[in-house]
Amino acid sequence: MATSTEAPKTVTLTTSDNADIQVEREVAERSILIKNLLEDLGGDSNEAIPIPNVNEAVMKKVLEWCEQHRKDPPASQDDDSDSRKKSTDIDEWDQKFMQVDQEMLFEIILAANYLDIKALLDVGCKTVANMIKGKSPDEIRKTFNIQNDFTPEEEDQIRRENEWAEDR
Amino acid sequence: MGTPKRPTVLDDDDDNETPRPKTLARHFDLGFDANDILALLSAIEASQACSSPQLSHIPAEVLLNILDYIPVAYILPFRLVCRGFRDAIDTRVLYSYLPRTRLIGYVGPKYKHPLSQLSPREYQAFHLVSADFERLSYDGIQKGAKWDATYAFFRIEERWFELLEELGGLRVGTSKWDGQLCRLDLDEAPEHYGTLRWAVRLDQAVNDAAFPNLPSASFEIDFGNGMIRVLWKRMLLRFLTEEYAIRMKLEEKQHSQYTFSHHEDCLRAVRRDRLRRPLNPDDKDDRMLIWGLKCLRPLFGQRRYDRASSPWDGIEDAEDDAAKVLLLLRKEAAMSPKECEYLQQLAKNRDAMVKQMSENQDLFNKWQSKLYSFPRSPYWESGFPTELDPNPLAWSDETRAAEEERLGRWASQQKTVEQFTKLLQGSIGLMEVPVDAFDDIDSDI
Repeated sequence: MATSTEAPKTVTLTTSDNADIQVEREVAERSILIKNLLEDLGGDSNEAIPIPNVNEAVMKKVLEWCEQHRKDPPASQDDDSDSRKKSTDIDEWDQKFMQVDQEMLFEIILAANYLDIKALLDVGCKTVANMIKGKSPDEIRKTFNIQNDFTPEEEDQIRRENEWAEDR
Repeated sequence: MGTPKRPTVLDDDDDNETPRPKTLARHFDLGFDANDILALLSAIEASQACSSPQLSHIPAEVLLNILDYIPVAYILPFRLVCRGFRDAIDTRVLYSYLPRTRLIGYVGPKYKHPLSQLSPREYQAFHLVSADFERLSYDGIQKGAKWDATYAFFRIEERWFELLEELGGLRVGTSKWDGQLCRLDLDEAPEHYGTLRWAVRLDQAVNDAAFPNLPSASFEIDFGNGMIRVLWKRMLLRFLTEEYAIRMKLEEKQHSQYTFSHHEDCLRAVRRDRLRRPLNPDDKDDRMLIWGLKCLRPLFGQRRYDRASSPWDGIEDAEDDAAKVLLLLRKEAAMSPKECEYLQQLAKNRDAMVKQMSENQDLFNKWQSKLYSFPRSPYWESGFPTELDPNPLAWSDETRAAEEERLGRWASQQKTVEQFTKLLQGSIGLMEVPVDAFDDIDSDI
């Protein structure tokens, strides 16, 4: 593994639309995917890292988040710690950061998922959860391109169950 | 089956290229094997149409992650979206709620014997008993996902039993607290229909855990071992339907008039509906209960024409008491830990202030009696803080504001108070010198 003295201070990321973005290594390493790739490549490599699933606009947005959260402690690998308390709170900076249109929001989530940035993925998921929580099933389907695969009878049954759980 | 450290591999093809995102690993420790995961994800993916190319296609595992963040009062309508969502909610989402679920037993109101013998602080510590999720029981289940377990075990807090013993009670056997233990035991008939005995707390919601007419096998309490065994899926689904109904009622009655308050009227309305549903109008006893429910104080600002008299007004007393306790618990659950901490600190500071004021009062009385040989008027002619509920969450906004102001004033006057205390102590010290204290001094004066 490369040590911090051997490592280059910056890395170059090549996005899906062939844009090169230079960024500090510490910032880029908020992404576990990039961190692992850099470790695999060794400390003295100046090779550009291809990020084929993320375009320049989204990558810049993701890096803006990484820059803001560069000093955050690494995400816990222990799932129990967050299953005990599922906070839906989003800090103020993140709330502002997530004030983007739905398409960009989804792109950020996809990028966070691909780049393996758990904290950003969680913020994205919380934002979407807040956005859709009061919507009707139809609106939710539309938001996520989901088809209704229930028969009308099944739908009636679920509606009844949602109103009164006695018979389940 | 996957473990947190070594998540189950879904797709061997891409495993060698990139590490599996942790978001996926999160879902593997819940008892899925690879086939379960594939079935669930493919059910969701199969429901996703490709008709809107302008919208990004969110992968199923991320949709599952989003479901985890939907507040409990909003989750049920998601069961209507597609089969994948319904299956996920009925299994892994419900299962993920368990570690965050707490059962809260209520031993009864302060005015009931023998609780009336307790000091406000003792009652505050004793009247609610908590039980946190401990484990699931897999008895009789050969193989399957974690959520296939029928029963969940919750452990009653040991601190409560210690308090019970301090108060002269026993876990098992006969003591004056047996009535309170019976109230918590759902095998025993409730004092009144709709009496609050156990509540469930999950995230920001609190609701009745076990009413009405719950089969005893659904909620078994073993006081000897301090454990509660519940049919957990049934309990949580009922809880979710309850929360969903309250939320819908809150939305529906947003601009209505209220008898109590927006929140309280809606909570009472949903409780009444739940209590009314299982009653059979053809049954004589049930008919009495239906009548009792109809005689309850009308909600949403409606005029009251009828009221049941004693002993038929028990349902109303039970409802009033349940609403009071549930609303306090809901208020606490809805607060952030920071807010709760602030309020608890406020109450502690107030206690310290009252203690200091009381000590100064004693000192002043002593000083007066030294000076005049008998105590005269009290130091605090007015403004001595009255006794408040030891639970600061029960304070009204006005009380809270008044106490904040009083404490602020007290803090700003600390220096003066300290000087005054020293002056009193010094004066008393001088006055306490005996008359013959100077007799042995070789002095001509």
